[in-house]
Amino acid sequence: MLINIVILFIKDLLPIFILLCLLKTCVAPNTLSSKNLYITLVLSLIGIITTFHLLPSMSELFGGVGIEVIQSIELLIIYLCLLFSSSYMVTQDKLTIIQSNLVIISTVLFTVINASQFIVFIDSYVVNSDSIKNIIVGLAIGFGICLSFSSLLYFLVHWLIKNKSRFIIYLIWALFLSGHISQVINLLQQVNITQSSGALWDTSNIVKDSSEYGHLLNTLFGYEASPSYEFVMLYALSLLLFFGYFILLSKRQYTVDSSKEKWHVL
Amino acid sequence: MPKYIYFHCLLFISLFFMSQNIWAKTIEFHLILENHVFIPSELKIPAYKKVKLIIHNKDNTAEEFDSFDLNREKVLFPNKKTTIFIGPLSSGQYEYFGEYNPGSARGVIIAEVINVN
Repeated sequence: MLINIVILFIKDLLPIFILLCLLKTCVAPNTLSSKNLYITLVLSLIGIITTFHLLPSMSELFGGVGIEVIQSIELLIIYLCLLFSSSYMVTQDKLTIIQSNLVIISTVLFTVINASQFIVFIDSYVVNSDSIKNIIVGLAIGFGICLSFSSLLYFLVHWLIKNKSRFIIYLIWALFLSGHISQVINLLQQVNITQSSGALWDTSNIVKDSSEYGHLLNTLFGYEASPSYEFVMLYALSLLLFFGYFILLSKRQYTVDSSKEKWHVL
Repeated sequence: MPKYIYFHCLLFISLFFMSQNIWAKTIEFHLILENHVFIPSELKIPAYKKVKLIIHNKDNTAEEFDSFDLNREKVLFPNKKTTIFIGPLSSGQYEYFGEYNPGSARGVIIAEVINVN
């Protein structure tokens, strides 16, 4: 049972660690001050407790598809807010107040989605389990793994920034965002709101979804061994939107830079 | 004005397809979760058809239906029925498990072309 707690901790909470790490290093380093982090933490805790109590009622909304519909809307909001707030990566200008608030909102929503499921598990496990020792040890190991992984990612991204490997950082952020927005398709397919056309390919013989690498790649880039056509389409579309927005930002930045240079010459 | 017409046409078409999708008749199958065990542990369903799976959690604790083979993941709240749509699946075996009790809550869905009740 100990290993189960660790697996669920990593599955549900590692994405939060990765998001915070990417935000702090390259997406919105100025936004995540200790004051904003404190606000995010308090709002997330309120959100998690509220969602945990409302989840059973939410599941019965819209004829039993409530959780999927609400989570899909939340994931869409997170994607759009984070994409709009990624301008710092291109312009290196401080984020506007609106963008900073959107980063906080999306971080809170992302934390609530992932952590509330983990709390449901912990609650169910506490009721069944005789000893609290397993839970504490499991949580400690899970927390340690998440912290170590996000520290490594933190240093890797900093190293990439130093080496001016901008495109790799863009790619990591784009794949992370696309991986999470694409989960919308799985959510909607399981309640029959969108069609399911079966798996496009199967890479289970290379990396299984259930393996450690499968879990990690899923958290980082939304990896699925046998994705459906709709999943791949949404993934591709979100990548296209991301790079379209970034090209637009780069062009605008180029125009601003060249006009500044002209002013200097004059 | 034409913009509004296009918008309404688009809305109508999307609602039409969504309604076709939501209320299309699908075959129902039932699973029961009792004492952290799925009953029946082997469920035969028709291959290449969409299927509605109704899972009744009779335990007093929550469980999470999880399947990597089916790409499905849903929390089963205590003493409640939950619906999941699966398929169309090609012939074969698709494993699922209860994520909170993977040792006992396990089962397999077998998609078959013929001889399915």
